[in-house]
Parts: sequence; structure tokens; C-alpha cells
Amino acid sequence: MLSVFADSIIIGAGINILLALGLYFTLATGQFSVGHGGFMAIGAYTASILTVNFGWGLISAVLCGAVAASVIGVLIGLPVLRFSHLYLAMATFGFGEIVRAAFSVNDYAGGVGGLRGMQGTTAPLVLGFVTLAIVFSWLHARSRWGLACDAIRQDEDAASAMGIDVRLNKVLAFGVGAALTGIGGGLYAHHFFFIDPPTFGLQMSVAIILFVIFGGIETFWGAVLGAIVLSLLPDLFRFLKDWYLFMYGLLFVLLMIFRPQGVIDRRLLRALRARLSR
Amino acid sequence: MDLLLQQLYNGVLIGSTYALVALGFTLVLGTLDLLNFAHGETIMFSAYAGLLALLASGGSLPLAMAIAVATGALLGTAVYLGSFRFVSKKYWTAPALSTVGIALILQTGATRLWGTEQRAVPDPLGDANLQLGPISVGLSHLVILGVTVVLMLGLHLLLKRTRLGKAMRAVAENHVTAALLGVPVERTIALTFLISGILAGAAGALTSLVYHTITPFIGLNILLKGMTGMVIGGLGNVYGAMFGGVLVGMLEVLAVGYLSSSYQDVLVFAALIAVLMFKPAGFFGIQVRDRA
Repeated sequence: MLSVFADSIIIGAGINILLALGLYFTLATGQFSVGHGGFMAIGAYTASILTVNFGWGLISAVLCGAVAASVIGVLIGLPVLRFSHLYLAMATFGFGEIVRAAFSVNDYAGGVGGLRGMQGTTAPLVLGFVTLAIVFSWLHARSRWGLACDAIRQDEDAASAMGIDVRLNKVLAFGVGAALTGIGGGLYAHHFFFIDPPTFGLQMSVAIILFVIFGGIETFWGAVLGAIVLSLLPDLFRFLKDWYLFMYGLLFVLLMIFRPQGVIDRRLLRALRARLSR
Repeated sequence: MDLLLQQLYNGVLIGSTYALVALGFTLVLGTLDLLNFAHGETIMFSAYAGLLALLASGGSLPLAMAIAVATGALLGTAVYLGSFRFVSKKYWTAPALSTVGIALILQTGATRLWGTEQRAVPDPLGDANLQLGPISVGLSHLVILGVTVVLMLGLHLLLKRTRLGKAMRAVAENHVTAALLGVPVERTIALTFLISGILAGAAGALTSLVYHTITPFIGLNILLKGMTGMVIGGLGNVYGAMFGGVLVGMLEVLAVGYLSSSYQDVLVFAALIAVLMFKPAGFFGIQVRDRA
């Protein structure tokens, strides 16, 4: 039997993997979201209201939150993804803030006081969702759809000339990513027993970005590894205390200068594979 | 009616600082296609530097403004060096993400240096008031409006009448062609960051004069307001940014006056999303470039 401490580390890392994979799907098509905290909030609030006020089971409530986040994601993505990546970055930036502001003024969702009373997230449940998400990502990477996303990321015009529907693929990827992030949000709410609007502000969106960017945007394994490493960091670097976010920012800046593609890229994976097969 | 006039006037006052925010943001975006997420924190940091100068000098407004502007210029250059100069151009996400990192550094740095609580900004010009019909105009308001107009005019002349301005416009149009024609692209980019920083510094000083308080957490909100102004005016459009910033200020003041103060941000950000979705070129009819 695992200790409570190990349990909570596994749950925390698992939730972060789901969040990171949610953003990975958007980055996999070369797009960029600065508001994934908003999708997390929608998933978290939807699931929490369903379990606390309506007595739903946790799994169905979390899935319902994922659907809600996904629908909103498609609605945002459909008009905005036509234009250059700048528009999506700004729309999601504004979106994250508007979700936070909207939940703050909504009394049914607890307003600024937040919601409490959620419970029930267990390590096996989180690991189950993570396994499904990883299997899905793995299948995606090997599918025609995954190839199409890869082509779009590398050169949109060339992809379009090859007959790939750029916009459809981008919107689909954005919707799937929002759903995964929503699942992460639902599990997060039922792990920490309490949510309030600032939880899902820009700092959360930035944390999710760093998971993916730290690991690397070329393969989904980068997102998974980035989430695991950065979930363990807070425990390792507890001595930094109040300077923690400062070092986080510095890490960001240095990473972009020295390894903008992330720690894990395809070359590294190939090299690892070659070494393992030797 | 009198109340409405007074509120519209307050809206213009707040809006003119947002216009400066939008201007600095749109300059870098127009020239480099780069979203500078550190812009808001540059403004916050400059505002603190200005406040410290104001307190240390016993209320010298010109000195405070100068220090704020100098801090802004310094941070603008730092953003250039940290997030652009040495960052690979192969990954377009890298510079933008790097500015997010700088924003985190500046915000955490400010909370460590000056604490998280709200700081009052004394008004060095006192409560002197001018009564223009139904509108009451503070002395500091004249400074705010004056500085804004001077900076806008200065930027207009810089862009349209000087070699540097011509170079900036050429680089914005196309880096490669500009370089082929002998424009010193890298230097022009560095100077664009510097000018953007100067505008941010001025915006910081003026914002703290408008609100009479600052906290280390104002940067994000101010950035979003400026970004909304820029989007309304059209991406990379300097004159649109001036108009859009003022519009956002009026929208905000009217939301507080006629709805409730808690809806102020919701309304402004809803405007941002709505314009991005339905009128992405902004209101100045510039063709949206379909950049990949």
C-alpha cells in the first residue's frame, strides 16, 4: 500500500501530465495558447457543480467537464484559428482572464469565495485517465491525423498544398486538447477539495506551458516528462521559498536561449532508441 | 448628463494611459510579430521606480517621470537582450515564451523588493481643481493628458519624419528586404524595444498618477487593457492603438458607472474576444495578413 505522501505526488504529477498533454495537442499544430487555465477552470467547475450540487459520480462528472471545455474550445478556435498564431495567443490570453473574471462574479459557482466539498480523486483513477490519454496520444502520433498535425506545424502552406484541411485539423486538435485539460481540471478540483477563480489564472496557464516547453514540443513524451519533472521540482527546491517563481521565470528565459525545442527532442529520442537496441 | 460627461472625461483620462500601453505593445508586435508579455510588468516596475524617486525627492514629479521612463527604457532593452537577441529565430514560440519568463521575474522581483501590499501614490500637484462647466479637471490630469499627447505626437513624427522611423516601418514590412536595402535591421529592432520601453515607463508613471495606488500585480491587467485597445485599433496599427486605448478606458468607466465595478474587467475582455472573433482586423480596415 502506498503512503499518503506518495499517493498525492502521483496524483499531482498525473493531473499535470493530463494538463500538459492538453496543451501539447494545440502546440502540435503549431498553435499556441496562453489561456489553458481557462479550460481547466471550466472542467473543474463543471465537474464540481455536478458532483456537489447534483450528486453525480466522479467519473461521469469529470467527463462532462471535459465535454464542456471542449465545446468552448471549439467555439473559440473556430473563428480565431483562421488567422495567424498571434490571434489565438491573444484570444486565449483574454479567454483565460475572462473565465477567471466570470467565475468571480457568478454567485452560483461560489464567486470569489470559491467552491468546496469535492472529493474522491484517487491515484488509480488518475493513473487510469493518464494511461488512456497516453495511449490516445501514441495512437494520434502514428495516425494520419497525427501526420497531418505534424505537417501543419512544420509548414502550414506546404501542408495545405498537400490537401490537408489546415483549419479543421487545428480546431479538432484544439478541441481535444481542451477536453484533456478539462479532465485535468476536474480531477484537480476533487483532489484539492477546494477551487476558486485565481487558482486558474495566468500563473496556471504559464505553469502548463512550461510543462510542455520544458519537455519539448516535438513529441508528446516531452510533455509527459516535462510534467513529471516539474511536478517533483517544488519538493526538491523548497529551499528557494519566495524566490521560487523568480527561478521559474529565469528557467524559462535560459531554456529559450539554450534549448528552445525543449529538453526532449526527436534527435534525443532517436539516440536513446539506438543505444537501447545496441 | 453632467455625470455622463464627467465619466466620459474620466474614461478619456484612463484611456489615454491605456493608449500608451497599447502603443508600446503594438510597436514591438508590428515590427517583429512578437507578443511581449513582459510589457505589463515593465509598466508596473517603472511605476514603482517612479514612486520611489518621487518619495526620495520629496515630490518632484519631473524627476519621478524621468526615472520611470529610464527604468522602462532599461527594461525594454533587457527584454530585447533576454528574449530576442540570443533566442533562436527558428522557433517562433521561443521569444514570446521568454517574455512570459521575464514577466514572472519582474513580478516576483517586485513583490520581494517592495512587498505585496498596495502602495499609495501621493499626488505631488495636490488637489488643485479646475471647474470646466460640469467637469472637474485636476492639475495632475493636465499633466497626464499633456504627456500622452506629446508622446503620441513624438511617436508620429519619429515614424513619419526620421530615418529611424522609416527603418522601423521598413523592418515591420519585411525584414529580409529591409536588410537587402541596407537597413541595419538588428539595431532598428533594438531601438524599437527601447522606444517601446520608454512608452511603458511613461505609461507606468501616468497610471500610478491616475489610480493613486500601485501593487506588484497591476501589470497583467494593464497589459490586457492595452492589448484590447490594440486589437480594437488593428494589430500593429499605431494610430488605431491610440484610438482603441481611449475607447477601452471609456468602456471601463461606463461599466463601473452604469453596471457594477465587478463587471468592468468582464466587459473589457469580452470586447477583446468579440473583436478578435468578428472583426479581427480591428476598426481601421487594415487587411489581416494571413501569416503562418
